[in-house]
Amino acid sequence: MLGATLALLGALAALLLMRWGVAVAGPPVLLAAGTIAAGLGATAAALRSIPLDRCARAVDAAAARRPGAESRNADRVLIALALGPTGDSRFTVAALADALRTASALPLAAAAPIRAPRGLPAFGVLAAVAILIGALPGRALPAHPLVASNTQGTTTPERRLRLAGLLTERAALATIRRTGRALDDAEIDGLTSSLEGLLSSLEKGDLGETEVLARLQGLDDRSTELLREAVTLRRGIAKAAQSLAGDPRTGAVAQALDRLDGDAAKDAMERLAERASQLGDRERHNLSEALSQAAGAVGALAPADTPMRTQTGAEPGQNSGQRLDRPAEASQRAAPSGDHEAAEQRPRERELKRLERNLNDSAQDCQANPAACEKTLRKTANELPHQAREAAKTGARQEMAKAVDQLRNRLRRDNQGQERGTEAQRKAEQRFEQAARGDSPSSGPGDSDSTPSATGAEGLQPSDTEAELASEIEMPATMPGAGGDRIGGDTDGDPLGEQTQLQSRGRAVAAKVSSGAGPSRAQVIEAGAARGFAETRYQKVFQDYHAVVEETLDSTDVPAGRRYLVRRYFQLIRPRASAPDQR
Amino acid sequence: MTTTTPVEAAAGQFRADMTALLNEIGRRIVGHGAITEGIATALLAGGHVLLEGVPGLGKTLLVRSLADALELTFSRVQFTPDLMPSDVTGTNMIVEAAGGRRFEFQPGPVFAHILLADEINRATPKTQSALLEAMQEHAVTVGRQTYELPSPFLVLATQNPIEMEGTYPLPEAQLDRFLFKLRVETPSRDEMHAILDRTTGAETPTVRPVLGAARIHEMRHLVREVPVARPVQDFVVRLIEATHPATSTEASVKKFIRYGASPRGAQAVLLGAKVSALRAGRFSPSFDDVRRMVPQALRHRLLLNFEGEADGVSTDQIIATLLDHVPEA
Repeated sequence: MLGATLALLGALAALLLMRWGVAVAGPPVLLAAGTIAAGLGATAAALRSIPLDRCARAVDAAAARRPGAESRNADRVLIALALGPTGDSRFTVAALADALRTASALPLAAAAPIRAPRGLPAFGVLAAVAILIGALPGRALPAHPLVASNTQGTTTPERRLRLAGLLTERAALATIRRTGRALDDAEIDGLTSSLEGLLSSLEKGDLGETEVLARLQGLDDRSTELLREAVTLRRGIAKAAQSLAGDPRTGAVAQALDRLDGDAAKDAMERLAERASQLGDRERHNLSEALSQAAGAVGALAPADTPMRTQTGAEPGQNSGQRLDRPAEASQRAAPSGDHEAAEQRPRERELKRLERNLNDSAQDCQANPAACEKTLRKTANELPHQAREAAKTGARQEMAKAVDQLRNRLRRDNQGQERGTEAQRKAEQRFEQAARGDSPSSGPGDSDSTPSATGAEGLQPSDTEAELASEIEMPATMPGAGGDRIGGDTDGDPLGEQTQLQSRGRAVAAKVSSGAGPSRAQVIEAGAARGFAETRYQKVFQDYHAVVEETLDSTDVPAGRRYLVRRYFQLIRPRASAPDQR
Repeated sequence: MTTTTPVEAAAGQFRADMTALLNEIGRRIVGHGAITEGIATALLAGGHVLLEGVPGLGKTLLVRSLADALELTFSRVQFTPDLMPSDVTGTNMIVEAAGGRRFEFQPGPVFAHILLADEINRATPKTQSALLEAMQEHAVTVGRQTYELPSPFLVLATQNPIEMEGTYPLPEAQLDRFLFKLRVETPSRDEMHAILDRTTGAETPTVRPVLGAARIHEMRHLVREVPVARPVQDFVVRLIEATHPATSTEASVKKFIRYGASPRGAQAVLLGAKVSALRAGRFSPSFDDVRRMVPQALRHRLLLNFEGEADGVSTDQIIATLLDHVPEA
């Protein structure tokens, strides 16, 4: 029994190792090893010596079990065995004779009855455990990403991630893709494709945790970088518009740039170029000053770089044809010096410098030469539509960064709630999401026919102020779960994240609830929940509540996790047919 | 055909005589089988017995029946607070004789084979101590003269465990001189019926003597001859060690016991076990014989500390725990 138990223990250990993916010997080898262990155990048990007192106790116990025996165990044999070497008194002899009589009258089977091996219960338990482990489906232990990254070549399989019900994320990506295509933004198109591929892999459970983290991190880095570039260009154009608005000749250009309407800005600039030769010195001087201020404002935002004119050695009034092809030259110059980012990876910054240069050149030429002024202004006008379009991509990229961050949070929360959540809860959540979108269950994401606006799709209006833009850039990095080295695996701390360190202003704000004719707000909300949040009355109610919620969230110390939940809830119940941003 | 050795014959006779004694006592005493057997065991082991029980349970009748069945002299002393030692041991008195007056020792009630010290805890310690020499040395010293007590000499003392007012608990030294302390329990319903049938009828059961002093001496000698196996004796030693807080591993002993059993306790256990073995027709005591003797031999030898007294712990509980936990080997 000892050998069999040891063999079973060995088999159990091998089974566990195989469950965890460690390659061990095959079944024939295991079977042979188990048989040998069992045989060795049986041999050892058969050859072991049994102490005499134990035999004597067995005989005495058997004698006590005989019918008609004393009610107590007399220990005749055991006592006689102990008395034997101590003396030969007449009582000792009598005790030995008495023990012999007792033992001889006892059948052997009574003294050595067949009994179950003592290890049988343990053996049975081990066997049951082995059968149970064998019947359970295999499941790999989760490997810590840091450990996994440092132990290449190990046979431990990585934990596979599987998420279901990514409908909201897919709908957001479809909107972002439409916006990107409307703006001819190949970067956004590529990022959405990558993110959709990642969603598909997550739904199928094809990817491991490390790979998901790596891909998500790459997407996050890229989307953040694109957003930063677009915001910088957007701010540069806004600064230029602000500077140009001071001169009446460039006011139309400024207004068009402020709206990011590149075509209108081009038209206004061309009209200005046509009148350039007719302007007097004073007017051209003022125009040059406005253009120079605009160039300075844009240059303040551009990366610290050597001014193009200084690089080329050109002087004011020099023929613009002698100037280098700046973008091409910049690329050629940057490449040998190793500044590939400036030359290749940041086209929006290049556009910003191009705008600065055009405005600067125009200012210089308009100061010195009317003919050159007209030519330079036309060149500047030709590039304005492209620059405006690039700046208009801010909204789409901002949404892209948010989508990536939202997926990261979804991964973290879904992973934390993986053990707790039930299939019924997940289905209920999917149904709620579909109802919240106002879609029928059969309609998939991306079926909407909404047309993106000139500056982006619905809800993608770029913010106007620098503070908003800056806060939007940093927003994803401050969201819970950002920057971690794994997805939601950490069990310490509040799963909803640390409490924000915002200075609470503590202002109580409440939504007005008026009673009167027509349905109450509660009825409107109830109807919206039943019919899909598309009614006009619901839009008004939502706007009221959403404004209060946003203001409250901004002014109070709501933990980041709760903040996420509230915003996600309002995102789910926002009116679907409305064009303006309802986030 | 089996041959019987002298030892076997002696052991058989021992068993028969003891059985006859118990049966004879049983003619008058209903129930109390364990008490009767305990007293008989103490008689044959050469020890004294302390009987503890409430009044009316038949302690005195039991002792008187024992004396009647043994063909031995019997005396009874009712211990009271004003009882003097000389009232027990005897004293020198002036006697008018032919040659004039002279002092002559007048033996007290202690000069009997069986002495019933009824309610011994009601006498003062001074009077209780008068029994010390008699119990241990089987002799009484008055003045400069020592008087031997008749042999066999057996003291059977009784005490009431409930009524403590005006009593003097026995000193430890005197307690240790009792071989056994037996607790007389209330009879069962059937035993009560039998008691009433026997004691309220016209005829009173009579007890005839079955054993004399000489036979008792022989039986005591036979008991002393019984060998004890080393494992059994080792078990007794480990039990005694386990009653001492300093050497015991039992938590209840460390917590509630002030002093453990003395070597005299081990002697009492072994002697009682020998009698028990012979009574069972065996030639050496077994572990179970020891187990049977331990409670009555040790319960008055364990001294509880204040915590034990305050918690109402009984020494029987401690002993039962020890018997459960001390291994035989």
